[in-house]
Amino acid sequence: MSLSSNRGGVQELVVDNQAASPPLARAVVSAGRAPSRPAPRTPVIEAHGLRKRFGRTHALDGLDLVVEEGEVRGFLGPNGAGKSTTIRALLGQLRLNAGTAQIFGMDCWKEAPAVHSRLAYVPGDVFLWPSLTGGECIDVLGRLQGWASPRRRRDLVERFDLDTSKRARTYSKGNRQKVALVAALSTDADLFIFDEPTSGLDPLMEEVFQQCVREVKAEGRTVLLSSHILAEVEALCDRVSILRKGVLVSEGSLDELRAHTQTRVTAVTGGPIGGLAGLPGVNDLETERRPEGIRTSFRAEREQIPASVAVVVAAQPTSLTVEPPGLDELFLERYRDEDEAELAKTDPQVSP
Amino acid sequence: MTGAVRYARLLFRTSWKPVLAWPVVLVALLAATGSSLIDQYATAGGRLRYIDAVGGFVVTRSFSGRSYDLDAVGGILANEMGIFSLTLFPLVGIHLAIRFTRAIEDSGQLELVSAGRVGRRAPLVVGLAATVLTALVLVTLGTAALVALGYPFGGSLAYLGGLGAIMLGFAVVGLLVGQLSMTSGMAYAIGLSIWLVLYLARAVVDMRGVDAPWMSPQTWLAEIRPFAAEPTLWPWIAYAAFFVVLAGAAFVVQGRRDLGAGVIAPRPGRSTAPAWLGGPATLLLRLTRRSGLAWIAGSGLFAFVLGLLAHELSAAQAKTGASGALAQSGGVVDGMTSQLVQFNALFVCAMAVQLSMAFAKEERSTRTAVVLSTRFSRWRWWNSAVVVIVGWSALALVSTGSATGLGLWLGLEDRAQYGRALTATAQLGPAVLVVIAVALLLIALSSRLAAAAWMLVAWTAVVALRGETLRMADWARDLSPLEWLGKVPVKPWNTNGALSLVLIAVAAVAISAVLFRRRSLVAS
Repeated sequence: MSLSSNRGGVQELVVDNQAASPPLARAVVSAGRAPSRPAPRTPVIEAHGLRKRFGRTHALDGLDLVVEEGEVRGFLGPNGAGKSTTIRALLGQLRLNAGTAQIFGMDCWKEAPAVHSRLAYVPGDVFLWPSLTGGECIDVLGRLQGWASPRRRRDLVERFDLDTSKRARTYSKGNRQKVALVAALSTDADLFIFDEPTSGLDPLMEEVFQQCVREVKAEGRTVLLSSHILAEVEALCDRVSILRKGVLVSEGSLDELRAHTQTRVTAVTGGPIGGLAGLPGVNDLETERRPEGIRTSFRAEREQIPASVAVVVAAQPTSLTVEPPGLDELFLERYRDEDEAELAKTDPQVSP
Repeated sequence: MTGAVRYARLLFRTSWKPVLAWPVVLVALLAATGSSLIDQYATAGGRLRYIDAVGGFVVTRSFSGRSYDLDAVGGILANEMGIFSLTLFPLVGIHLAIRFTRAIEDSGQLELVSAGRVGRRAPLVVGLAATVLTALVLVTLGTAALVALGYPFGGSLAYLGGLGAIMLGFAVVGLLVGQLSMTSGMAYAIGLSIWLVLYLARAVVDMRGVDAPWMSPQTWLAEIRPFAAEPTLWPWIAYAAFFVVLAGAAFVVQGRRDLGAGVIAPRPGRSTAPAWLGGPATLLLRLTRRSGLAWIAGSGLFAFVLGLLAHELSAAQAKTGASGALAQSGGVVDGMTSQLVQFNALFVCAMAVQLSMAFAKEERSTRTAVVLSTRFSRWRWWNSAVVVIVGWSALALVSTGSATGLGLWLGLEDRAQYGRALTATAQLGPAVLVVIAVALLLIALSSRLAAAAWMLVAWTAVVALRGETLRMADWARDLSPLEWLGKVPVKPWNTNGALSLVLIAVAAVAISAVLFRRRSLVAS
């Protein structure tokens, strides 16, 4: 039994009772490290009541977003939720119908150049100047920003394995994203705004990106990361904001979001596990007879994890997995809840 | 050819506008000219006067090609429309072929389409078919319009058939260069260069009166002689053969290249940007460098060759003693210079609109959003665009004026012509400023409106080239900014008009900057 990894502030404890028999049995004790909230810091991004209409569509419908200095904030939501619209509003590219948006205490619309002098932005769809080479694009973007470091540029070009002599029109999507990332990360920006920056990158480059963001964070700089790659958000972000139809539906650290969720416990034992059915806070109990033994799975509320796992351990499991919900599950659950609530609103026959 | 019908449906659904819009625009121009001529030259006496005034006039021949059958009003129409027939129709042909093939490939749509049940040949076949369809619409509408105006059916059909043929002749040039180039931008540049060389070669041949009607698709058009008692057959065969050979070559090239690639591959470049490339103005200068220089080279060549030909003109004029409208209005050379500098101004206006459209495209491709996410303000970005577009235009005015002047100087062996042509071209600068200001005003309202500025250029061209023939009302002529400046150097420069144009331009640019600062940027 050993501590094996750290996932979103939750320690994993691996039990290897049958080392030779895959799959590897592991237990995750979610009652580990308590979520560590730093002392209140200065807000870098402060947006309140953002509203933006495109014709009849309400792209933003009273959105609030506060991102504090030094944090990496995940920005999630399905397609059309308003993530890119929010980012465009923060960049002063959209005239809002209502609401206030400030970055570094300055108005995003009125004081855009002053705001931009301290941030770097990577769009989701990177369109470069087709006739310029990748290297020229990086330098142009860096100089427009004003303070790109040549040393960091060289280092990043190497790490992202980018051929900078090719014309931008010949680049793949991934390479165009690399150009934008190198240009942004070469700067000394205090705030980085990434709008789905890695959707075209391969896993190796995705890892390089994550490493870069960790370095940026270690330097105390702030990151707003909009992404559909939930594993990336889970690995990098201190807190996440989940949008839906132009409003914020959830916000908090992963632990906070998990607080009211249930942890899935799965075990394989020689015989049936007695006493689980009667335990309060244990739900969706299922058992199934399999060649390797009896597979039992259930969902336990956070407070009931120690008691229910103790009951399982007493039954000498050959395999035991205790998994808190991942971000993808939280995300899907959140959305299912919203969908059901909405359905119930429109059709009273359906109960949520 | 699998899936050609399916793809044709898709193409028509997404791109039906040019199929109708271009024929309508071209036929409107044709019908406007045709309707004014049919009244003007209804009588044999009127037509004789026309022959006396214009027939064999070297300026007309150099700009518009050879003229035949001027004793019929159809022949006069063909002569009056000559300059458009040799410029607008071939250029629209090149544009349509690239628009329906390479531009669609550039947008990435063909990657999706070709991954479906659509054969490799289908997009090119359908693209060419759409171009041919546009030409057929043009022939049908144009013939109907002329017949309705009272022109004979047979002659009208043959005439429109000829215009369709020159359009398709250059369309297959566009089709082939579209397959050779890696991007539609490169295809346009090569296609326009080919057209320019052929136009100038024909101008030289026609000016010198060399008997070489077989020379190029530019010369074949006049030889059709649609309003003659017995129209000739060989130009039709020449156009058909040209079409088949070039279209065939396009299909051969297409069969040997990768999707999204061309035969002319892009070269790798420098891996760092030069030190001067850093701010919005230098970036815009770098982005417009190639097209700006191409415009200057193309218009300069055009201006120089036509300036040089003025020598031939004066010789011919002396020989025949012809009394054309130009000769009446202040000397043959000044009349010629006046036309040439108007051409220069039209070229520069077109360049300015094309550069403005490139600037608007920066916004639609979201690159402007990236630039404006840096420390530079919208104000700075907008002003940089103004400086760069005005700068290129000023350079183009000086270079075309110099080229015309140099041509006149060498052709006429009169050094004073250089200064006269350069000054006259520069005096038309305020009109170019207004065109730039209108383009920027449209972009400030919405970057999608940029193309509407072409209407002003087109109108200016129609007034400059056809204002007399169409007997336009004064207010209609005054919509062209060139009209405000006077026909320099034949007539004195209208300083009040120039001042008014400059004031209008400055006000419009200032309003455009304010509008741009107040609106949302276009999203991708």
